[in-house]
Amino acid sequence: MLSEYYKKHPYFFNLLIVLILLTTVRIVDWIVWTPPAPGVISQIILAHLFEFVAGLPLLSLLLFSYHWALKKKSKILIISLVFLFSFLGPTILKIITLFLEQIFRLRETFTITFDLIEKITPFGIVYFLSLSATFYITYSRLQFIRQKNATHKAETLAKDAQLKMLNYQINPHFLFNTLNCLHALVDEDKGKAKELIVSMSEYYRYTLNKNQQKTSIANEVKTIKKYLEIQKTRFEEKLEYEIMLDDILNSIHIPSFIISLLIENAIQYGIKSNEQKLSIRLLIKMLNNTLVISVSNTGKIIFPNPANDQNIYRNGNGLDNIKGRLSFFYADHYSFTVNEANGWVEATIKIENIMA
Amino acid sequence: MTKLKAVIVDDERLARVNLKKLLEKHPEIEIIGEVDSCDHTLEIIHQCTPDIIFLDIQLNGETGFDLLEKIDNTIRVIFVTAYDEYAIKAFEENATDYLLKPVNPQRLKLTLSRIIKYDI
Repeated sequence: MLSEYYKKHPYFFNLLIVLILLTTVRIVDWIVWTPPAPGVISQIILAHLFEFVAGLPLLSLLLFSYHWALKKKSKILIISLVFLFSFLGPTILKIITLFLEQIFRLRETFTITFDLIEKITPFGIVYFLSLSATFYITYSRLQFIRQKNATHKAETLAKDAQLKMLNYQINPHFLFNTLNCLHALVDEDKGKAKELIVSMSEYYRYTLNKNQQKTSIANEVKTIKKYLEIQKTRFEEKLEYEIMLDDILNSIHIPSFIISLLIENAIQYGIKSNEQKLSIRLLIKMLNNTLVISVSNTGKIIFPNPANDQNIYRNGNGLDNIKGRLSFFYADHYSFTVNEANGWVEATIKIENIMA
Repeated sequence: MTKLKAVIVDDERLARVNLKKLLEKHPEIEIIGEVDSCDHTLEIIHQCTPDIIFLDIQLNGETGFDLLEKIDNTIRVIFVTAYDEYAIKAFEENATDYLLKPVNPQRLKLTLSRIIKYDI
């Protein structure tokens, strides 16, 4: 129960613990250094409890403003907030406490004097600096955990993408149809049969050997060419493709298999929605410092329907995987869209400020 | 003995070539046509009633099952496909046999001899 609440509100819990500790220390400190008359102890404890209660809204304010400052990513803002809380916080805290004491008739009246502020400030600064420090420690610990989780997630997604590619290659339809095609080619065109064997070997080698998070555009496109050559041998004039790639982009590294998955989807869904001829187009270009990868196919968007899809070797269409990995590597600096217009389905990935 | 009239339906030309070559070794079979879509198959069925259809399941935008609904069930349908995931469904739809690509010549021989022997 408690651990669940802690996971939901780690900041609040940590700060509350510090607040309780500080109040306890103050009560003990008071009693030990200035032993009061026995009747007054309960009053003193009550006074400090008021201080604790007065601290709660300030605690919320502190949490809220620190989070806000972190969002703005401004160091100056954070530092000024720490100073503001350290110097003004104690005074506000004291005023609220005194006010509470007056309401509950522990104190007759009070006036805010400079003397009062001066007296409470040293401990108040420690008090609020402790709270700020606790906030910071909680924040960095959460960041660390988040980072670890994100890395772990990216690794899982990369493995998943490789598995999806393997699934497709080992997909019986692709493999046996290609073998069947090879069977016919051995009689019809020995040269072409040999080419197909080489294409298949190179295509398989790429995904079976690579287990990297990222790969160069050159590598990825080379594999895609092999894959399209194999499909072209199978579908002959029913399939045509075009690859437009600016050679200077070859060395740029991108998450592996992302374009391959898009091309594979374009063929798989394109074949289903084209009665006559299927055209595939891959375009990779740099536009105002933004890398644009666009995969288009003739036909219509078909949404995968798991209930109707009898093919147990396909597991979704890989789009979630693509989005997940792009978001890990490029955070908010990417976009991924799928559009249909004029008989073409186009999937576009845009990545801003990518490094070569 | 009258020859059995056969039609090959597959959207990949090389797949049709493959099957044609194998069937040419069987004198009891006469290939009266090879087509690449459901519509063309229906046309050929109307022109000359075949005895056997060798049918692939994935046909561009359509499937072999779409075709089954539109044809007379006296025509024997033999599915020829890359993988066996549709086998049970094929037999439910009254398929005569189910062959896997690349087709094993011995297996094809068995299919044809059964058809002739038991007239199924």
